[in-house]
Amino acid sequence: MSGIGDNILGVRCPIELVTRKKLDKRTRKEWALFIAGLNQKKIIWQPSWQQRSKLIYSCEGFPNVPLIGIRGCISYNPVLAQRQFGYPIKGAPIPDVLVPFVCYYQDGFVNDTLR
Amino acid sequence: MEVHPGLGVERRSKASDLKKKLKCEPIRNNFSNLRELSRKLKSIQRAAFRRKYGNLLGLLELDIEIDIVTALAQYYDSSMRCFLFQDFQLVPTIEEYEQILDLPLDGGIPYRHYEQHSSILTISSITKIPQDMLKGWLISVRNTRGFSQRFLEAHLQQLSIKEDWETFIDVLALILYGTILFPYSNDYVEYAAINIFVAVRTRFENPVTAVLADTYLALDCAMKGM
Repeated sequence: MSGIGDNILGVRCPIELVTRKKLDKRTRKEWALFIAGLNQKKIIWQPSWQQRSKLIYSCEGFPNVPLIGIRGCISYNPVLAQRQFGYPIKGAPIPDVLVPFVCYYQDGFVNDTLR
Repeated sequence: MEVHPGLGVERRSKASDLKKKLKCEPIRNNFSNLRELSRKLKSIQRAAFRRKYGNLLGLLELDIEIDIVTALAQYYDSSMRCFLFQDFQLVPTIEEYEQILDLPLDGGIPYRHYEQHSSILTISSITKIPQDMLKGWLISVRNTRGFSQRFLEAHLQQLSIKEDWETFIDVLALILYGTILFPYSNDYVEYAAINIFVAVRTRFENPVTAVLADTYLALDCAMKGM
C-alpha cells in the first residue's frame, strides 16, 4: 500500500520499512482519529520500495479481475488503484467495471473422506 | 453509488455513512515459539527459505497491530472493494502483495483451486510425519479439517534437534501458511491452507493472488457479520 510518513531510501520490501521504523504507540482511539484525519496530501504515492513491474489491470472476459482464493473467489478493482500505480485518475470509472462479485466454495469437508 | 468525474470515487452522503461499527475479531496466534525456532536457521538456510517461500520469515517478526487494522476496517467499502477516505481511496493490490511477500508473479502460475484436497500421503512425504500419525491428529473446526499449530510445532522442534533443515524449512512454511497467510482459527492450520502450500511446494504455483483474495474475502465476511 502507498506509504504514510518518511520515505526511507534503499528499502526494497515494505516489511523492512515497518521493522526498521517502529510505529508510534497510539491507542485505538488515537488511531481512529489519525485515520479520520488522513487526506491525499499526507500519502506518499510513490514509496521507494515500489518497483514498477507489469500491472494486472483487467482480465479477459471479465469486467474487473476475479481473484481465486482458497475459500472462495472475489472481484478486485485495480481500476480504482490508478493513483497507487502512479497514474493520474482519468475521470470516473464506468460503474459496469466495478460490479462486485463473490462466491464461497461449497465446503463439504466433514463428509469428505481423505485419501 | 455516486461517481464524481475527476475525483475518482466520492464518498457516499453523510446519512448513509452512519453505518454500524464493523466488528473485527482478530485471530491471536502465539508466534513466540515459531520465532525462536526460526532463528535456528543459518543465513544460508534463511536465504533458501526466502527463495522458496518469499518473505514469510520477515512477516513472522511483525507484531499484529490490531488497533490499526480495526480502525482501518471501518473505512472499507464492500461494494467498491477499497478503503474510502475523505478525498482518496486505497486498494490492496496484487503488485503490493507481490512486494510484501517478495514473490513476483512474473512468468509464474497463480494458484488454481481444485475441488480435491491434498492427500495425507503427500503431506506425509513433505513433512516426514507418518501417515497414521497425521490421520490420528486431524481435528475439525467449524466444518473444516486441519491440524493444531502446537502439534506441527512439536514436529518442527524434533526436526531442529535432528538438524533436518530441508524438511524444517517446509514444515515451518506450512505452519506459516496456516497461521499468517491463511489463518482460520487460533492454534489451527486449516486444510485449505495446506492445499495451497502443497500447490506452491509441488506445482510451483504463486500464492500472491490467493492471499489478496483472502484479504478481500475476510473483509467481505466481516461486513456481512459472518
